[in-house]
Amino acid sequence: MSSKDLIFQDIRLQRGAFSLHVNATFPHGKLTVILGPSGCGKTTLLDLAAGFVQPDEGIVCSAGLDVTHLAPEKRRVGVVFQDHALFPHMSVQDNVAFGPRMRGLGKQEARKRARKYLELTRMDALSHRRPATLSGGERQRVALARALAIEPDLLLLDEPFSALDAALRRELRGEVLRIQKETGITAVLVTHDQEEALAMADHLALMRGGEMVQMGPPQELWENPTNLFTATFLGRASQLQVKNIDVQEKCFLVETGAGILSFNAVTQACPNLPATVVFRPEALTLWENPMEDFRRSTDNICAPRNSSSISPKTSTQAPLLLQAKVRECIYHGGSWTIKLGTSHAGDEMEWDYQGALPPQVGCSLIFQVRPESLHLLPHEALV
Amino acid sequence: MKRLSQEGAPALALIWPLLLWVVAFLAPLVAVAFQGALSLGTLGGLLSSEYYRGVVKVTFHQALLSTLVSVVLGLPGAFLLARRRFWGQGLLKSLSTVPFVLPPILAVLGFILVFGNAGAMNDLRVWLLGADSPKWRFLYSLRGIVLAHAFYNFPLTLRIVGDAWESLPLSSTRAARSLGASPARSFWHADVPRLLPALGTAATLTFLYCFLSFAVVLVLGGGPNLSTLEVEVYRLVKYQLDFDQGSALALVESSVALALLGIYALADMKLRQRNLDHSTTTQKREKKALSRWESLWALAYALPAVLLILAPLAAVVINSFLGRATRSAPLTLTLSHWKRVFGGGRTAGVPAAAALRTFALGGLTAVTATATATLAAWYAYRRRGISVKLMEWGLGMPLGVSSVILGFGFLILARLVPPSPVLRLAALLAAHTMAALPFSYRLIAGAFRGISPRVPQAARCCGAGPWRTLWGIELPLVRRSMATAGVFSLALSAGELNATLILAPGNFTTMPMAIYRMIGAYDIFGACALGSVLILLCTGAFAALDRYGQKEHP
Repeated sequence: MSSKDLIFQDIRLQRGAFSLHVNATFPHGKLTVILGPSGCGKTTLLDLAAGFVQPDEGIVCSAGLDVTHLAPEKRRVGVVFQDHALFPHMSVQDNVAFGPRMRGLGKQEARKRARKYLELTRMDALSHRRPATLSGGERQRVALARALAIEPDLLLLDEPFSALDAALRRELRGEVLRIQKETGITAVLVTHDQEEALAMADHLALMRGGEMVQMGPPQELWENPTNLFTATFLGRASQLQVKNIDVQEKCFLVETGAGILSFNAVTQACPNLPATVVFRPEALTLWENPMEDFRRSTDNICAPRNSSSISPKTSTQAPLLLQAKVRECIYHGGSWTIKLGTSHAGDEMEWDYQGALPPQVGCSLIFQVRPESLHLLPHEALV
Repeated sequence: MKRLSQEGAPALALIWPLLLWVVAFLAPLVAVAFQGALSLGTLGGLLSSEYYRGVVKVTFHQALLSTLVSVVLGLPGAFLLARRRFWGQGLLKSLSTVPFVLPPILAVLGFILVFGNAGAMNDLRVWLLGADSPKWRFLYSLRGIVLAHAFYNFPLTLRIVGDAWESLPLSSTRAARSLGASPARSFWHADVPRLLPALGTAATLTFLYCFLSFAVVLVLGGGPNLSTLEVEVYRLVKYQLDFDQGSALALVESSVALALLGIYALADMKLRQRNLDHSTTTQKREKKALSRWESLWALAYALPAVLLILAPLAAVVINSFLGRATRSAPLTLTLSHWKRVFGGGRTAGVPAAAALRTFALGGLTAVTATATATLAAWYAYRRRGISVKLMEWGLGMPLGVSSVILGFGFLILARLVPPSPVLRLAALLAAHTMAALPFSYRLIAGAFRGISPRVPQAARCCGAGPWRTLWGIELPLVRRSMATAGVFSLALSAGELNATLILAPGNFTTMPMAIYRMIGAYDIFGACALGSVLILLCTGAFAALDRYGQKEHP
């Protein structure tokens, strides 16, 4: 942890029925993305960092300073808002020069600074235009230039791409990443778009219900979710409800509606029930080549029918087998998402199938699953 | 949680509006209430008098009838403006704002010239039916009062309901139609509930204006048989110097008006809460072109409506250039009234000075009302909660208290201090400001609400403090509304007669007062010349506003 990190230390605040309680550190010089569903407190956290909102309790530290009670104009924070919030009565250049002027620079110097950041955001050619004459993407670039022109310690971006179309969003994402790397500024971006979060974040913070659920590099959150919410909110996840756990010497056997799975007791703590086994769709591989067989009959089973006859492998590296019925096939243009279920009501699995013809709805399939891709998560971890 | 919006600056900004409200509104109102409470015995006597029971009855009767006629006349116009497309639509919309800003005394003058016993309508009668045909008597009766009130207030329904009708979303009617509703049932179930708050607003405002109407009843009422509470308060205070009876009647009038305002505010809040729409759709319904049948009734509606609005104004201007050598001589073109107003002659200098005083008082009112409304609107923009609601209720209250009563309150207070013309003028300015404040506040607060809350936050991040943000960012964004509020306040003050008649010191005459006195002295042509100056003043102010608007949004 660097002394220049953005730190939220035991922050608490209450707004009507909504409450926020956060302990978090966002690394200096990196782009942190806060991801979470609507109403989870992402923007409120950003407002706390900017000074628009003051907490009931706790401390906010930025660039090594306690800024909890500093007014926004006393902080060195640049903010890019979802609705741009440009000053409509000023030209693009005056918008960008406004911050440097307010921070004590002379008129000429402020304009020079504005030109520098308009060049950085590639908006220098439109510097004399009014915001109303710009496109959404151009307005967002001006907002970014204005936020950067005060040369802040911290750059906050509140869902900056949400009002843009998909192509422009991709383009501006690249621009923001380029500028963040070039300037080395500590940046925090709020989004509810998982794809955006995973594509941009150096550091990912996942929120739910006013609390931080899990933080870390995006790959770590993707591959090693510590709770059911992270596993299910980030990308698609299959879930099998645990019926029973049999603890043995070196491993424990977990009984699910799709079969019995073995977990290494050394690397995985045995949770209390209720618990869920979670894995990504890409973890599943069809066990044999049963496509021809399962098309013959919807009742056709390509492996032993009795799930109890599936012998769990004692080594966690050996493949494990799961049996499930096809419930629905969704075409995505060149590939299919096959939705699978078991006799257990809460079990939901997905499998990506590349092929012209999908399996028939109702037929049973056997899959092998990589043990290291399984996560056994207790329900109490749910935030 | 402490929010940025709850910093000290907006609370400091509220000090001036609060102070002004207490001094210029609450204090005179409390003075009237106190005086009224002291003379509660008088109230019993008043209400047992057949004459005053008749006055109360006439007040309600004319207000209800005027409201009914205004709403019925305004609704077809609202439909035409909101749902149909036709040539001259913009002109009709612009014309409908004229009565809002027309000083009542001018409307009265125009009505005398058009509908009076010797007016244009009776000239038309002579031309059509001959000189021996019986006279058309429109004025100096309940009919005259209702006609003048309808002229004043039907544009209120036309604009308020029309704007609400125009902003109805396309999706609601489509949803109703797709679920099997006929166009009529779709209108009844999907549109009418959304139009009710606007209709309620228009009807309540109309009723209040008619209930508190002064100049129209005073001049066109035709005497004691058609007097209202407002006129009786004025007569008791100004001519009979009977403060006890005056305050007792004022208490009755204000209680009724404020209670009505309160009931309306509650009902409006409930209706709007019921109609809260969180859908993100912004697509509005397209206006249809008029069908042949609709064109006929649109013409039958719009032509008299336009004539009703324009004829009194045109009559004032035209008559300012006419004159008769003797009472029975034919009308001839002359500039003598204009010369008399601004040159030598019998009333030399008085009307010209009145014009200057009107300008000065109007300008001061515009500045005070706009500055006060801006500070209050900024507070409302930056704060939430009960304090904003209370402030808005307080600022809306002058709508329910007539300026005659405010003026009367100031007279009661003036008895506590040594007589001073300066204090009287300050009281007059205060009364005019209070009359203008509810409108100015609505205009400016609406503009503030249009600014994204993120805009001042962006300014704060750039390093601007709360006051610098107000001056450099927020005020420039609402300056057009501030200018509109200023011009409305100027026009309102320039046409204000009620409080001015009560409070103006002996030698202080404004243009409406001069016009009123000229009408009283049967100097109609002179009144028309001065009235034309007042029309020029108001038109000039609104034209300047229009040019300013074009400069702002080319």
